[in-house]
Amino acid sequence: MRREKAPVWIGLLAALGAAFFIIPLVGLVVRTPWGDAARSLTSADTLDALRLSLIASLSATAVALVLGVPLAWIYARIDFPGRAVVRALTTLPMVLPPVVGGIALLLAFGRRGLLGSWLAMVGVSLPFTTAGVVLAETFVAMPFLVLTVEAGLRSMDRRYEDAARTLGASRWTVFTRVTLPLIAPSVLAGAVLCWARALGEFGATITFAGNFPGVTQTMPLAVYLLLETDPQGSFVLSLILLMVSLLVLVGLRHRWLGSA
Amino acid sequence: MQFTLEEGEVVALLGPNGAGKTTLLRAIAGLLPLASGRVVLDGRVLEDAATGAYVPTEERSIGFVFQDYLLFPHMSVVENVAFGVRSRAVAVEWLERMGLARYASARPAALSGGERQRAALARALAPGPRVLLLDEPLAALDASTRAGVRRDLKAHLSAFRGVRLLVTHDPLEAVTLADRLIVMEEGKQVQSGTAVEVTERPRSRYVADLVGVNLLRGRADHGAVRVGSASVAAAGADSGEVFAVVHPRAVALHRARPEGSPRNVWQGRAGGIELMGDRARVRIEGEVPMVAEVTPAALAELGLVEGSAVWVSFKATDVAVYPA
Repeated sequence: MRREKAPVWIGLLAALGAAFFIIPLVGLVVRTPWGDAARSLTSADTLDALRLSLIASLSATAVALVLGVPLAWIYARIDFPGRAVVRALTTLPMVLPPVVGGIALLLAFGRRGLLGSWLAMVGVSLPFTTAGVVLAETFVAMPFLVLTVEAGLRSMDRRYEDAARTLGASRWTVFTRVTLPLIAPSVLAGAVLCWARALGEFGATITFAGNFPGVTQTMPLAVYLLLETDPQGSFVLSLILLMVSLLVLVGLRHRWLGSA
Repeated sequence: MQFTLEEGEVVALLGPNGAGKTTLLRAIAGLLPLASGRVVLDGRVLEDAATGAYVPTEERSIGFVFQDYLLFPHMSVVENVAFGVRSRAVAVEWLERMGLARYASARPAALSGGERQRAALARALAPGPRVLLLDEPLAALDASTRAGVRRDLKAHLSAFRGVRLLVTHDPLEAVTLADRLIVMEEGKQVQSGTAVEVTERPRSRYVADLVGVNLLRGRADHGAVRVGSASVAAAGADSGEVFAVVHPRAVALHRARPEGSPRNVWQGRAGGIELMGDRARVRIEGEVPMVAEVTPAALAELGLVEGSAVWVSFKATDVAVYPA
């Protein structure tokens, strides 16, 4: 690439733009009471929130994998009437305010919701449970996985599937032994993105599942509530979440940031 | 187009790029649905567009060697070969037969082009198909290895006792590997027969260009062939629609109108001039375009450049005529 000098005004505005991101992060690192970190980290509430966050986000990622990969396959391979509409609806949570998502979930799975009243009849109640947290996180995070896997399916060389079929492989064998391994990098990237999004989920979770320590209080919820009672502790938890995000970004840099 | 493939013969589908050869091969394998037509194997209808009958690819017993081989990159070579036959032991046998035993646990990416082709062939043959289809089996190789791989491929093809059909745009490949050629252009069969039959009596401009002869098509009329408003004297032309072939070596070029016996004499204009080894081929534009082959010395003597006026002559006995 040609080395180019930036015009002064563009350079200034760009620097301002970058600082806008960097300063808050620096603030977080600088103002975190490192001495209290160990104490905050080992408090029972924090450990509960951390454990719950990991369980819920990993469960949400698992659900998203089981349901999302087939969905992506359908979007990439099957042309059915209304596909564009269905696809748009399942992508909506990426841009929908999460609180609205939480309310929509309440109206569907809440005690008097469309499906919730049926579920209640068989004794299943999702709102304000850990399962509800998983549901809310899946709702918000799965679209990231679906879109990433769909892109992978669209860009793969489908003739490998043809080759497998000439070798007598059933459609299912082709999918599990050829298609999935070939798009494994996309599935992995999608799963990591989905997991990171689920880990940071706040709005839909607090709306649909509430904020009960040990049951539905995930890390982002704990951070927000600690800000009132124990600001130092909330800084430490924030830093942990920042570290996780940073690790995800570094892990995916080749896919999302190019080779730069 | 319609054709029947017999066991015991290797058939090459020869045609220029875009003739529909690969499409045809994929349709036979069931990878592309037929808009019309039928595929029958051993009396069993595999597909019939008219009745909607369709046997899926995986049940057709058709081995397919793809142009760039398409070995699964996430599997080792032996896993690739075992994929269809579902037996590692059989796969290892095939690797030994193909001289690839030491690459069994290697990834396909570690193999050379020729080795990849043998691995692809082993993978296609291991399940014991009735039919073997090969799409441009040598196109992915560089010129230096092609001859050796072609020799190997010929041996492996003759060891397989099923129906064998290969697609190629390379006449040398078709002639050396196949017993019978089917020439295909623009989705249609234009000619079929042994290499000798096809090259001696070209029936299309494509084949004529491959063989390097002048091909005319016209109406025979008692010792002449009428091509448009022109007439070419040809011994043996009787009646009906015919092809006429004139070898460029039989076409002589002159500065002035030649004296003597040749029955075909006319004036044209030199078009493209191409040097081929110790020979030069000159395209002569005119009412009946002709390519003449002369020595570079003759070319210099004639002082020919593109656009020069020049006289063309050839004997009526040098024109081979056969029914169209």
